[in-house]
Amino acid sequence: MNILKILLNFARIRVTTMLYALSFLGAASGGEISSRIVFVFPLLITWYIHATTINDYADYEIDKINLKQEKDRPLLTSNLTKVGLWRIHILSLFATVLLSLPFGIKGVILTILLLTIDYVYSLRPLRISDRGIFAQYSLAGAYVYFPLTLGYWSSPMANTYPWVLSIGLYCAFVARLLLKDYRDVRGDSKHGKMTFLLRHGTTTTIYTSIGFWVLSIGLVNSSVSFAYGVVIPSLAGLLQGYLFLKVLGKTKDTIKQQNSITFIAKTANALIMTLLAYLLTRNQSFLSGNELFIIPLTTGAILLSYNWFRYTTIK
Amino acid sequence: MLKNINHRLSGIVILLFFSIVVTMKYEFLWPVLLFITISHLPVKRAKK
Repeated sequence: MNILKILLNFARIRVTTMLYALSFLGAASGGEISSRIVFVFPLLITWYIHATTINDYADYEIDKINLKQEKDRPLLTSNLTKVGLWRIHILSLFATVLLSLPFGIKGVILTILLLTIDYVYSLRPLRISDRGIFAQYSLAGAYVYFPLTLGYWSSPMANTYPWVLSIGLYCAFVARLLLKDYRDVRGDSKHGKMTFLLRHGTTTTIYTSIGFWVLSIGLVNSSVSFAYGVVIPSLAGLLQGYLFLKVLGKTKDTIKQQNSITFIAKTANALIMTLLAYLLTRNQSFLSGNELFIIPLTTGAILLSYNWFRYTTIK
Repeated sequence: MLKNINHRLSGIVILLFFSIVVTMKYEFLWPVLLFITISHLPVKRAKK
């Protein structure tokens, strides 16, 4: 496996692309997508490589059980030694700090904070990943605030920081991340990694996830003054997510569980695109109120319908 | 296989729709088109 493939594996491009979408939400909230948004993506990539290398190192024994079928974990597939992993990790550390320079001193400080969280999350003595829901609280904070804030700083910042929106997105990510441990139950329980799922069981996990989803929908819609073009797709998405969560709660089949979780994530992504469409439309003063309603509504309707169609064809 | 064709076809239709929307009048929606396009890229399955 060549070095580029290894770096791409650590970068988890689908995740970092989704984080990049959040930075566009931040920029759109700030009033405009400017060319400075291009500085965000490489920073997110190097930061994520830094985070996943240390996490793969720390969880090596657990991943050997949970992920032995996976071919995209270089340490597990022996395509990379631990020394090689540490080289990549250290290089990503320096690259991340360098790439934060275009955002000024506040960008560097925020980036160093995120890099610190990577260690606190994965390594002892704190190892937040072992500490129930605090794992979700800290991961969601990193996943939302870093890209959203970088995106906002890349914009002209004509509006104030979107605090209500950020808290809404944070709740949505806590809801999503509560489901991430379904895949890892065997290895986590064997090695005493007490995730929220292991501590409280599947019913409590699902209802807690639903609770955070409802809170998220309320806050996000509040941040856009309950614009109908966002409210309607949000409610449809909430219903869709609820149906997928019900399936998740009823099945012990790990493949069906992972399918449900995948489609819940796709529902959430559809709502992110709806919100982005709304914010971008709102920034265009020449458009009518009807267009401000129709554009996000159509975006959400198409993406959610497509999501449902895909789910029904793989069931 | 028919299900796969339907799924890919509907994905292409959606991309075409958004491409037309963006190029005809709403070019400011290009980030939405970008991310929808990326999400439709085929995923190389790494599992056995």
